[in-house]
Amino acid sequence: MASPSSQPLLYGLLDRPPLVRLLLLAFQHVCLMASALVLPSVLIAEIGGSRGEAQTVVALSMIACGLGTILQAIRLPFMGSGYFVPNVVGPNFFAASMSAAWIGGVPLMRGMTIFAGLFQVLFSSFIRRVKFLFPNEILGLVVMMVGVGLVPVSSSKLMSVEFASDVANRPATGIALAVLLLMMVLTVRGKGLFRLFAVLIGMITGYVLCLATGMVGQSDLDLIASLPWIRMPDFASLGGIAFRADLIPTFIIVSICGALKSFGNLVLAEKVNDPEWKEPDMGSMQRGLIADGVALAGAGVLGGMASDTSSSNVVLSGTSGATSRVIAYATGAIFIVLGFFPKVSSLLAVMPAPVAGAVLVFSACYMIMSGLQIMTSEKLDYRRTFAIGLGLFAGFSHDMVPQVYANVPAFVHPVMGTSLSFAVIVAVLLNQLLAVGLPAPSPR
Amino acid sequence: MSVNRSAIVLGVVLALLSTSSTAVRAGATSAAASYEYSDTRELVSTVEDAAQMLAARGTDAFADFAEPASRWLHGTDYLYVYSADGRCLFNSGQPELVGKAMQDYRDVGGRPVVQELMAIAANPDPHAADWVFFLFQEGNVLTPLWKTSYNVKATLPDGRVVVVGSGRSNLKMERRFVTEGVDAAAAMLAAEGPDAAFKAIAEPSSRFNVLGSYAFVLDMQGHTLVDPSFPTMPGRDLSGMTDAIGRAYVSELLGKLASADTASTMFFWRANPNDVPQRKAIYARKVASGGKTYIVGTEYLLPTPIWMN
Repeated sequence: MASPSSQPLLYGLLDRPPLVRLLLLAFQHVCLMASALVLPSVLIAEIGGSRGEAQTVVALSMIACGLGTILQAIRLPFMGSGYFVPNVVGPNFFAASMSAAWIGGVPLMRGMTIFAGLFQVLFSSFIRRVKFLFPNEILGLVVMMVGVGLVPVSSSKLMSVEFASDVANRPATGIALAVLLLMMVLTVRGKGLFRLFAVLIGMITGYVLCLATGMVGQSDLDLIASLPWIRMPDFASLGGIAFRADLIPTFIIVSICGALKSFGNLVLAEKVNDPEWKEPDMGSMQRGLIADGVALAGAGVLGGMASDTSSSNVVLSGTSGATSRVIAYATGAIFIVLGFFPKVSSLLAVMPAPVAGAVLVFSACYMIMSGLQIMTSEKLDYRRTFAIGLGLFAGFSHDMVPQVYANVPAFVHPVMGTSLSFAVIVAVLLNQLLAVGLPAPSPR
Repeated sequence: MSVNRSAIVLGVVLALLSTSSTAVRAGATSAAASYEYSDTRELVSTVEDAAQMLAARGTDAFADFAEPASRWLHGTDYLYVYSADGRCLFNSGQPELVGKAMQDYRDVGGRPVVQELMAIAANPDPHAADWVFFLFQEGNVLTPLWKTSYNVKATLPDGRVVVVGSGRSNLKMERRFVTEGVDAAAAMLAAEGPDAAFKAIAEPSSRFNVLGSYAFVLDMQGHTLVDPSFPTMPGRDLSGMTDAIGRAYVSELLGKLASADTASTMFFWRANPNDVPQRKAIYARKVASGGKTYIVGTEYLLPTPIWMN
């Protein structure tokens, strides 16, 4: 059986798929990206905003994500990795954005999102100079922990348990498992169109099963029916842009976590595109992170929710074997256009939990195993074993027993924003500490 | 193509098996649509539909309501029906109550639960409905749990007025529960004056106690005037209170209320110093009464998705 990295690409970075196939491939990615659009609606509802405001924020988030996707794929001298790494509304930023919105409404959320984006651009400008901090085993850890970071949300959706008090919905879980199995079988054993559209086929099957069993709620269908076909975003309803100094530490934390996650996604995208991949092109990584930071700041300027690169879409392009830059342009363009069509975008955004759960588990599995593969591409001597081992230990403990870190001093908070940041920073520091006095590694 | 057919068949069979076990109902009513959480909407639509069945079929509907593993009776979910004078007409969860006059029944906190149901029946609106929150000892669970019940007035074909309802002990706090409770307390303060309203709001078993979240009253500087959570500490100055990450959330709220009638704010709260902070919110309303302006509000735990870090 072929390993994921040895599967040949059907449409590589520079290929141009036939038009119909191109549109279907882009639509497959758009469906996946749209599943995160529920976040701005939830955020605006929680702060007591109107349905109109929610629609505006959703539309502007779509436009920002579409632009970010195109920006990432364009390989400019100073920005853009050139890879198909789409932007989505970022679950990473959800809690921080919500805090800002509670305190100062959408204007403060916009202002702090702009700050986070600019901080990420600044952070990215150092990445080439610190290349020595990120040998392959650390990069593998980054990719793996991005996958691990998907575990909470993916298992929540897979079991249809959104809140601690919810009761697991057995029929929903059954559908989620069936969809997951279908996508995996089509990816592992499918050829041609079946492999290319494994996720789309799985999602459509899941939608049909959920509609047939009433798992797409009537209230969701009523909401979709009530929306207009075409609507211009109401910029005036968003107010201005505001900043608050006391929120800066929180947004620095999420910005660093977002940058590390995007780093992992970019590494995976590069590896998927290069069967002979040995190490990352740090210039490309830097341009990719700058594009991600600019897209994030742009989301704030436009009035959308904070965006982030999408692990699920990177996985999808890898498993389908279609990583073409042209698909990225088409995906970004369709996402922007759909921002003006609330009925269609809402239909995609109300993705039933079983479908979203199946897709996210599919992505998490691929990310985790790709990370492990990169990690173990180097001989794991004692130094690497303990550096990576303690990083993993720190990351897992962050998620498994968060109580033990409840009272860490404030200056440590940026390190411990997520299990990803904690694991990577511990591993990087220990790797350097254990290397003191050893000869520098020879350049590859 | 070389797709393993047996694996696909297995997936489809799994899906069909899973979907045949329990049909999930999609038909939320318009009354249900305004709630944020699907389990709240499901409860509301179940009770609304039960009220419609009672209006159409009268007590003949009881046979359907008592059908095990049905939409009306499954797990710990069941329906009850009370007459306008507080007599239990139907209760598939506690059948021993049927036929009993329950108007004096109070929960373990002293809340007159059935009298609140009778108030719904006495409401002139033919489609009156309201939430009743009460502490309930479920089975052999040691600690009584808060139960959230939705109740709807129905007129039977013979002209009798009844109230049908159902409750759950695992429903999440809806923002509407809080805003309606605070707005009702503020309306009472405006209408009846501080003396009567303060006494009513201070009562822990009052209807302004929503799932253990009490209504409070502050002056415009942030001093407590009514605080059922800490009745022995009157007059506390809350304006300088900070949350788990150091934000002065009460002064933020006071600032918002300086230019608006209602305001909300979110803050992080630890029950104990070593706990991970939880998200809490305050909804507050400014109200004039007896020549002074007061702030009526409630703080409550925000339901937080299990995946949110």
